[in-house]
Amino acid sequence: MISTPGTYAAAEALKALKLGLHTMIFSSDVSLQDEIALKKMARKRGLLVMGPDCGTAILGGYPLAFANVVPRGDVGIVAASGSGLQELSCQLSRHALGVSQAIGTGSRDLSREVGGITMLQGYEALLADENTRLIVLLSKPPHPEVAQDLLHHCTGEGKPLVLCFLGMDAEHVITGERRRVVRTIEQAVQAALALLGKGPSAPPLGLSPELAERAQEARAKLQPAQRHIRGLFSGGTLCSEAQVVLSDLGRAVYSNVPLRPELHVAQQPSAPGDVLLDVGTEEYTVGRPHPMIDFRARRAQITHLADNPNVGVLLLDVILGYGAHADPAGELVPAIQELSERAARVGRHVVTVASVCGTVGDPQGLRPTEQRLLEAGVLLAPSAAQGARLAHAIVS
Amino acid sequence: MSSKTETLIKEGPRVVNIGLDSFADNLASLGAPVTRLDWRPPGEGDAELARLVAELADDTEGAGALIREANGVALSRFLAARPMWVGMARAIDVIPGMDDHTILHAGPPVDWDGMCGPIKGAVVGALLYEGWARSEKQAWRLAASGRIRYSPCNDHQAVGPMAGIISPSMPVMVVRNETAGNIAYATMNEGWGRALRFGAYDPPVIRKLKWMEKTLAPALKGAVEQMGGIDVRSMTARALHMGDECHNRDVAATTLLFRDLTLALAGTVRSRSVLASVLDFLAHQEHFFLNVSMAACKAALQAAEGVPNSTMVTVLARNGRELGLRVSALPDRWFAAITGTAEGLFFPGYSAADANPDIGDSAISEAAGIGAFVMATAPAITQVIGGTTETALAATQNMYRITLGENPNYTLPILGFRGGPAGIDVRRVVETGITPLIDTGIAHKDPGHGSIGAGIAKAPLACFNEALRAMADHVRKAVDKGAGL
Repeated sequence: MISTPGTYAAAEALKALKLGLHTMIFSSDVSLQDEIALKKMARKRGLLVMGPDCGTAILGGYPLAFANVVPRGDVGIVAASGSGLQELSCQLSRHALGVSQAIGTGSRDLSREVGGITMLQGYEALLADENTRLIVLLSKPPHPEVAQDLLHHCTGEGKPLVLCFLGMDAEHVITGERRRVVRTIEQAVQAALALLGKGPSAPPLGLSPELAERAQEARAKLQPAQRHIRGLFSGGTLCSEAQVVLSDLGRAVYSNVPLRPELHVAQQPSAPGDVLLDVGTEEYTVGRPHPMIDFRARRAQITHLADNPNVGVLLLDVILGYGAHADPAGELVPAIQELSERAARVGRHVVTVASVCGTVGDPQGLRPTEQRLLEAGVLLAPSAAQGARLAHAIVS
Repeated sequence: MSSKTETLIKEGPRVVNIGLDSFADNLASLGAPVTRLDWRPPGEGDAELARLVAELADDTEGAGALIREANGVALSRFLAARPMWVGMARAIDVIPGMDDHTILHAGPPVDWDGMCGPIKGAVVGALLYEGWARSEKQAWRLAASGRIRYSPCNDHQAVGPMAGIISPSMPVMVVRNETAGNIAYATMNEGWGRALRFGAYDPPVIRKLKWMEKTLAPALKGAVEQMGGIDVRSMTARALHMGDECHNRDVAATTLLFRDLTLALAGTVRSRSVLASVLDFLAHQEHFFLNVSMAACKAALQAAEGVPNSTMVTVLARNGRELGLRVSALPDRWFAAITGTAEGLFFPGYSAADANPDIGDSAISEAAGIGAFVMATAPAITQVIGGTTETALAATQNMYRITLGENPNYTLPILGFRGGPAGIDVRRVVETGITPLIDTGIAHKDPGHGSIGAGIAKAPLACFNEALRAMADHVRKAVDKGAGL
């Protein structure tokens, strides 16, 4: 497990492979060329290279780096996204599904250059693993050639399979008996439930009546101009999923990690719209730890929202588990309170919506975290996707 | 799925953690098997060196396999060496490349202008000793005239402590590696205090050298030959069990040697007065074994020289300005870097300000895995730096981190008779940033003074970095040629 500065990570990984060790490279900032060389060498030697930029894995029941404490179970995961893997494993556990193994690939594995080497190795490993009954492969939409390769190799023969290509065009969704191709984590969980015969085949993905009621109450407190959502995410994939949900609801969503290039926040028209930011990208993390550990970037942005007359909802993710901050709620609540006070001074109310990516077994505890957020007036959604939906219901 | 992946999935991970400690904490709290690597950036943070270390790391194929195999050969040749002190000879008669205008010196190559005070002083002494100059003034002029050729001892199968001066008519000890037949030479130890090797050159110093040439050398020659040679490796092994590290603490080894020599000398030296003077000299000389041992170390390391692709260090030597090393695969190249002053204890009236930077070929001891490398067995040596038994243990433990293997001939009782660290690996030094420790005497920086103390020095890293870069070029060529594959 390598989390040295990126400059040295490839060298350490090479030494590990020479010693016959699988490697998990948490470090980012490893060149693409090195990644390819390491993964090819590893494949030749029957070894796995998880990463670089691999934030999480769960092997043999042990969480590696950033990971949640989820029950062991039937679902094997291979994911190119750390926060995506965390959200998926937590959502599965909320639906009484456990995880057999979760293998991270690193964020570039499904690029054309790398060709999905680790994901394909991971898939093979899970096919052979007797404790895995169903496999979920999770990533942003791969390069088309790689996607084709994956679809060709990963057929669902042997074990039912869910391919979740987050934010992929809706037309590519496949609904089959053995294999499903979906575009959000929420849908992946539903597909897994269906393929394991544990849930309805096409469950509703709308808001629960209770949340819909909360949305109505909150909506009444907003002024007519407060029609926009500002999302501040520590998990990049959660930011992407929220964008998918909101754009499916007909909203124009801008981001620093946009679904399409023309939706980059730098392209934002003068008329303000929804902006969902991933504060885990380099522009925010230079010289600082990841926002799952260091909340300074998010706190500063939260309090500034009071000055924006068009923002009605602050949308947040709160990630728990090993590796994350010991008290994320304690970090966020003061900023949320300051936002409320500053907004109140100019006669406004800003609603904060959050989803907690975590489990009751996580060191921070799901319940205490949720309790502190509720006490601060935060509306809680059961998933990142639902959080986006709830935010939309409040400002639409 | 490969069997290795199957094992990972079935049995779960046994983690080696490099980097963020909290990741290891989390795993440990869950009872997962986790090892924390005491990691620091290799090559002192030079990313290119870190990559070279990884590229050249042992492997089952490619460059790493060539090196692993080569180091195995070099180390086993070194460990198999059995150096015997077999006799005495005149330098010019036996040392390759020695002639009537050559003076050998310690350390890597250096010209007259670049020489430190002690070497200059010793050169002047040697010119007087040889009779090439009649006065000190004349000697200084001749030394700088360009008519004298200066060359490192180590380039001539020889080693010399401190200034390391060997001139043509000096008697040298002949040590032969009985396993491979190669031979190494060293001058005899003159004793402590004012001595040529520390840069002193006044008349008593020269007179003593003459006595050693005319009286001591013939006596020892007769005794050693009568004994059929002296097994230096075996004597070293015994002394290591008696609290010597056989570099700067040789009292046990010298005593063992004295005992054997005395019996032989009693039989071979006819003149009672000669016998008395020889025994008197040896009995008051705690370091006499050092030079014997240095020649033995040199003979053993010579056996490991010239193995293509081997990254094992075969020479460590200092000229009072630079420390130079040589690597098995590149036997004709020196890699040198500016070296510092030893940390140590000074005789009354002297201080660190008087000290010359680290000097002498005696670091061949550490290259051969004794001296500071086996400090654990000789904790008394740490008194020169005010150290403790723990200092000594830690020193040896650290040296295991930069060596290829262990020497079964030299066992260390305090470490459960573990073999001493053997075969310095350039790759490991660069990777860990740990450089060899060297037990050493300290010379006055100005010519003419002599020895002023004893201490422990640390080799500079830069020469190892340079050697690693050269090894990368060397091994890449071998891989390109497909040699050994």
